[in-house]
Amino acid sequence: MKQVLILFPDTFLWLKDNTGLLYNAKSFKKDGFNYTTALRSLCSALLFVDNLYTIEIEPENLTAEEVKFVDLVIRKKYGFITEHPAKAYSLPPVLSIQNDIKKMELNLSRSVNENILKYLTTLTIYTGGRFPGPLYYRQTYYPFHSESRLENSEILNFLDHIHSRYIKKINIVFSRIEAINFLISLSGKLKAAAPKVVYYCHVRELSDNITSILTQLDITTILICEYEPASLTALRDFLEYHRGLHPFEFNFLIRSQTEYNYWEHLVSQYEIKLYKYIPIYDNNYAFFNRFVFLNKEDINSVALSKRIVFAHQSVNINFFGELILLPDGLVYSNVNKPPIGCMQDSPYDLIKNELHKNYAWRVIRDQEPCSECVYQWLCPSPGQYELILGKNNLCTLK
Amino acid sequence: MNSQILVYVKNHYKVMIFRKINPTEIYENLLNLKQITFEVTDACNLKCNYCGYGDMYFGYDKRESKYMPFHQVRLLFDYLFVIWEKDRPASEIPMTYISFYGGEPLLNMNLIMAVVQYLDQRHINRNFVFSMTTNAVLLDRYMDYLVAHDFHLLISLDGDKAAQSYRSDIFGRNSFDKVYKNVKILQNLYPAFFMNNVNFNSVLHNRNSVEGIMTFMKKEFNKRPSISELNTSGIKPDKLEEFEKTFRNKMESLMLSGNCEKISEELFLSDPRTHELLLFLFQYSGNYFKDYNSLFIDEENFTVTPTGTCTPFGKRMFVTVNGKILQCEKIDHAFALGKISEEGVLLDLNSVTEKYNYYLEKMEVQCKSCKRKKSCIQCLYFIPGIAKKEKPVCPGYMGDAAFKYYAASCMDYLKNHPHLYAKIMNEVIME
Repeated sequence: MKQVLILFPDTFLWLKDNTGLLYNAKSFKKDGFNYTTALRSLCSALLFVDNLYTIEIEPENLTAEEVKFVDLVIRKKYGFITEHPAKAYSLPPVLSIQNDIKKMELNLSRSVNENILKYLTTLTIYTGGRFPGPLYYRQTYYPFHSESRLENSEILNFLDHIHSRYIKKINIVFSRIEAINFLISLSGKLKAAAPKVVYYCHVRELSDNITSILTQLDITTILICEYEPASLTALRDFLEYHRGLHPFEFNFLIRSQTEYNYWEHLVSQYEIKLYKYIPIYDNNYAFFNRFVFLNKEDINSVALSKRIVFAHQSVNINFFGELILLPDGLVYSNVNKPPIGCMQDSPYDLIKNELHKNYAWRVIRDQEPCSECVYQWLCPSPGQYELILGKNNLCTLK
Repeated sequence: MNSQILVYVKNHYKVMIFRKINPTEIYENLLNLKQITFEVTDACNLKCNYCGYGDMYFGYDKRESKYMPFHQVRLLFDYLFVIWEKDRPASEIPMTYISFYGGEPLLNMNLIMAVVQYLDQRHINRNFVFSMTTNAVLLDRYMDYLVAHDFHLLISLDGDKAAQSYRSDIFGRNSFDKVYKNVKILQNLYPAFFMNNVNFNSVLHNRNSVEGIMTFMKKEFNKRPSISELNTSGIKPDKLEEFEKTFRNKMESLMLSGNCEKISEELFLSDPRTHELLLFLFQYSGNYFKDYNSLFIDEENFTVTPTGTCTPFGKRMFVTVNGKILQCEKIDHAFALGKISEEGVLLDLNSVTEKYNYYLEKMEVQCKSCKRKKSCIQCLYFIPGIAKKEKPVCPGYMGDAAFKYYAASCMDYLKNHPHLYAKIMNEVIME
């Protein structure tokens, strides 16, 4: 008797070479299977969009492998079977982004440059100044060492020049904080330019005066904490002084298990609530391999909504919407790639350059080896670590 | 409809928090204004039986053969220039359609020419595209100018001579011969312009049909027209019988076609069922996103305004010959949001917001329990009694059973036309 197998709209079916994966973005269940020759006809029919995620089957004529696959679909609730073909349909997860650049390029009456200012939502400005040390700014928000620093007026001119109603967040990454007045005058204008302003300061740069001013500015301040003697002393002093009352948030940089253990102890000892651990690659491949690279267990614990899977398929969720100004006056979408312009360029030109060159915003896992992996869209968007390590992926699977 | 899919559709948007609009949104709409439509005159050289400004309807200012003066248009532009020069729009060079509407706009060509010249001289950082809805009776007189300024024309023509018989002049004479002749002159003199810049709109009634219109337009002009039904709101009570006699439902007419499927394929989104399917898929599939930024918004926990009404000036601005500013040419003039007077433009964005939110609030209880709120197509301004003190009843309201029927009919239609899924999801770019 003929039946119809139907996959649920939240189910993704991904096939690569000899491997298949069923993922349900509602239940977050996932099951890999051997995508053998015996399953090819059934799976490709399911994936043919016009079939609306359905395929007619005759249970008595199915091969053993097909039976196993159908059983998996039903048992794990990736789909169901009906005996009423007329009512058999589903909505396969075909992503439709109205202003998708490829779609707009094909439409002669539209332009890819329509409404692009809305995409720029975050500005990050590295003030620069003397801060000899590692080049960690290539991995995370970290002071940028330069002989000259951006003057207050240059920052404000840049903000005026690039201003738009769509910028939601401005990050200022300080190297040296030399003048307290600089902070005060900058803050008022930054707050008028965007709903959220975040200051990133290295803990070593804190002084009582600066701390006092920063706490009064009503601006989120994130302290960059590095495991080295001067920073640890400064941090301990700060935490002792503000014991139980931490006005700032913390980014703890981690290069080893030892550092992680230290920070964890500190978080517990001082009851720190708002903090992040930021892994830093510094010739510590073994540490990264063990603690940062994704393994099968990590991927099995992934629980992404359909929206996030779609986001992974079309944009880089780490980088999208952000432009970065370095103290040399050049503007980047990714500090590990060439600049996309300079601070005198119009925001439209900067955005157009990024959309055209795609150094960051739409960098997705469409390169080998990820493009050969069924977990391709469950993995996080590529980040800076891949570029620093010179790898396309950060996982132990491929 | 299979129950699992229905459960999916219902669950997908179970959380809905009622959201009102704010003046900032309206300001941004003005900043990114896509179209301004001027009713350049309320005079017309035809007297169509079913005209929305004719005997059959109410809800518009009295027709007094007025002509919009240029200074009125200029005041509006000067008001908008301030906004356009103060803030950055979302597009580097936004495209704004300047549309001329009537009455018959070709009766006020002096104004139209003055507007074109004014915008040419001002060097505003915008790409202005001129467009016009015309009955084409005077087209022979002005086509050189329209072509020279790259106008986009929407010509009102209901089909062949019999189909055009409601579109008659003040003496009751069918306008077909004159219109057809003019359109043919345009087609012959300016074939490239005709191909790229000219479209047709045909009103469906009891003297034509979807199939007849499509066949005529294809054969005569190689065009696919837009086909509109008669306006179903604002009908005078004593004209209901006449309206009923004249009105034809687009869907019914399409179904009566000999080659319904082929016509439907040609109509694509102009087929009401396909358009309905598009709305359904965009709102309930969970696979549709307006732009890249939308991918970062968790819609299930995001507040929305559950109405089919555009936000003021989100699509266009309409200015009547009397200087009233409305958000659309289709709605009752009583819903004016502002006015252009001798002193200038009176458009208080706070007041516009309050008015809009007032209508929203009036419907809030119904909207909250309406099962179709995510794909609402009901314009607030067409809800009877919305501006009055009484409690209005939304004609688009759907309870459980109605929504189930609606969803099932959309999915059944998709089941029978499965190729539309990929076409809608991959190819359609909405306005």
